[in-house]
Amino acid sequence: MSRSILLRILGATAVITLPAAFWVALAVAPSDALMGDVQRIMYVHVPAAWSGFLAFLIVFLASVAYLVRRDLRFDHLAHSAAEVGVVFMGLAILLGSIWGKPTWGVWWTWDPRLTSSAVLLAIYLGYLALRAYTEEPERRARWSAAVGIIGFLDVPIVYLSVLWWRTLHQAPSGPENIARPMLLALWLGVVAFTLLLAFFVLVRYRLARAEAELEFSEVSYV
Amino acid sequence: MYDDGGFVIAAYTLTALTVVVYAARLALKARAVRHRAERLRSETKDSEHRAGSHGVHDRSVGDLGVQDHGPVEEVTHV
Repeated sequence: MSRSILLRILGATAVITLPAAFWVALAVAPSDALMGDVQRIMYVHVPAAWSGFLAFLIVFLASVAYLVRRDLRFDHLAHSAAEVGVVFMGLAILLGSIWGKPTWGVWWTWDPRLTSSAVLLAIYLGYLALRAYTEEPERRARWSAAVGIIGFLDVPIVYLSVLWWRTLHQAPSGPENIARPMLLALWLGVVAFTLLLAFFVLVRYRLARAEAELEFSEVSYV
Repeated sequence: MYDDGGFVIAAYTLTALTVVVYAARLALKARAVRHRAERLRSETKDSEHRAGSHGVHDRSVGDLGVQDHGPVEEVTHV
């Protein structure tokens, strides 16, 4: 089976899974005893943050692979994952803000989890800016790889911030402290977002490679 | 209890919009890359044609590297 067909199957699966996850989150999962319906935002907020972390893990691994192998395909993969990661992390922060207003009374507060998440987003926006302003491909790949590796250090800080410090943000929910129908909605959301992440990264990776090959051809032509 | 459904609707609408807008951005980018590849391919053909009809060895054509590396062919499949 060709890569294009596999990519289309992945995209179709993601397109089907996301509305299914929305339906389970909005119509099947029960309301939270304390927060009521507003808690349903968790079913998109957590998967969006998870996808952002996963994307930045791909950036980290691809950056290490580039520095070891010096193969620009790893750089294209890191670039693609960083762009998609910024989209998902930005979405997670916005969703958290929408959830924060009715529950905490504020859209934003300088809480350790929120602040470290904002720093994480800023790091990868900086990563993309660095790429945009560096023209020579090898140098761009080398510098980006360094930022991609160092920037990933903030991911465990974001995750553990709610355990290390007293924060307004709640601690992670797991099977031991969440009802089964709620867990089902959460897991379905995680699956849908992971499929979307994989699809977007692969499509963006193909585009990045095509752009690089075009640049090479245009330079050769001139 | 915080039963303001407006926040829930806003959150799910924002999520769906983000997915749709990013997918559209990728589609537009793919189309732009395809157009760039087609333009480069037609320019390459024109140059080859001109060089052939005038019996001139055009250095830019000879050193293209485009056909050798096959990039133009490949990017048309984005």
